[in-house]
Amino acid sequence: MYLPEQVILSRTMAAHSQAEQMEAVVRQHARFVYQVAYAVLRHPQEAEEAAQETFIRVWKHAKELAGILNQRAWLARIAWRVACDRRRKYPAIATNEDLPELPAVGIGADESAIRNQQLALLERMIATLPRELRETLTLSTVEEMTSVEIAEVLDIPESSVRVRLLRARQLLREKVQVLTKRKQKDGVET
Amino acid sequence: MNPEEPKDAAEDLGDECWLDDALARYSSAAPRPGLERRILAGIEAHATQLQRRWVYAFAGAAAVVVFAIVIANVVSSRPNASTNQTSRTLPSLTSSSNGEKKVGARMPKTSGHGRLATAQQNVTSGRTVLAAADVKQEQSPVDKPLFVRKQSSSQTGFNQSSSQTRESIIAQEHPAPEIYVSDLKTIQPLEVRELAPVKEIN
Repeated sequence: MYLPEQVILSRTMAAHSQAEQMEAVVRQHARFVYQVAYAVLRHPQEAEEAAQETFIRVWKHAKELAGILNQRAWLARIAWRVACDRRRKYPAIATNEDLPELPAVGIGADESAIRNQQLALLERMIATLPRELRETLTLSTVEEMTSVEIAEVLDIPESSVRVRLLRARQLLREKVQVLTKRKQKDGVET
Repeated sequence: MNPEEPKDAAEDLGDECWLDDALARYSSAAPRPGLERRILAGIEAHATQLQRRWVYAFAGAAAVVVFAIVIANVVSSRPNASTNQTSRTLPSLTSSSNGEKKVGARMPKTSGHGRLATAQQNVTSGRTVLAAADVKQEQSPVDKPLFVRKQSSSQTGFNQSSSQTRESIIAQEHPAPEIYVSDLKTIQPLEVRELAPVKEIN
């Protein structure tokens, strides 16, 4: 079958531009996708694999990429779903506590320990929240994720996102206050 | 004004700050360096794997098609062979010179004309050659075929003429093959012996 040069050239260029576009998307959003996955899975290796899977799915729909207005929200949604699927498939994912901690650069050992304790405490508190509040709050913690994007990821109205966030923060604050009061009480007794 | 109120407000503010700080660091996990490169390599590997899978699928489909064609050829050639075989084994209908149809296996060409020739030779040599009808009439009861003997023995009480007419009808319908006395003489009687019981070896 004979193909005109223009058709061959256009096809090659389209394939080339698609690959370039894909590379640009990966370079631009890889970190963001990783963080979305990490927010759900709480494990670096799993989050990386989820990010990989997310971009493979994106590559399969690379033709649609040009027509998507909010690429970040689209990617976040895919990453969220992939991460949720992975968590469902492998519920017993090791947490950070199972892995040896590397010493943090630039901060002291005491401060690092306090931060780790703080994070562990927050994780435990978030885990006790209802699912809708937990999901919304988890996504809100991801760097630069707006309420519009969260609404798009969770497929709910933006107002619901705001309400859920307020409610989640309120619950968390109450828990922190209870903990603080208990600590103060223990300090007075001792 | 309650003196404890500013204290509570400060505590609340402290808790709020603590919460903000903790939430900010909650998902701020930095990936290992080179994440983009690994992801791109993974996509490339996936693409090549997919391409290879397509090649394997195509090769498999082609193999299946070729196999199907071969099977179809074998199956289509088999009935022809069987029909050939049946045409060879089935008796062929031949029409004789006097218009009667004879059913029988195809014999070698020499059989019909050869017998005629030998009969003529026999006549010339002075030996008695009897036609089948003559043989039937002159045969002793021992020489007669078994079914004829049975018929004759059972029909002794009946009218002789009726049995003769029946025989003639049967003879017309089923003309007996030409039998030569010389041929009959050559047949050796079979000796049937009772088999000795098998002795046990042990």
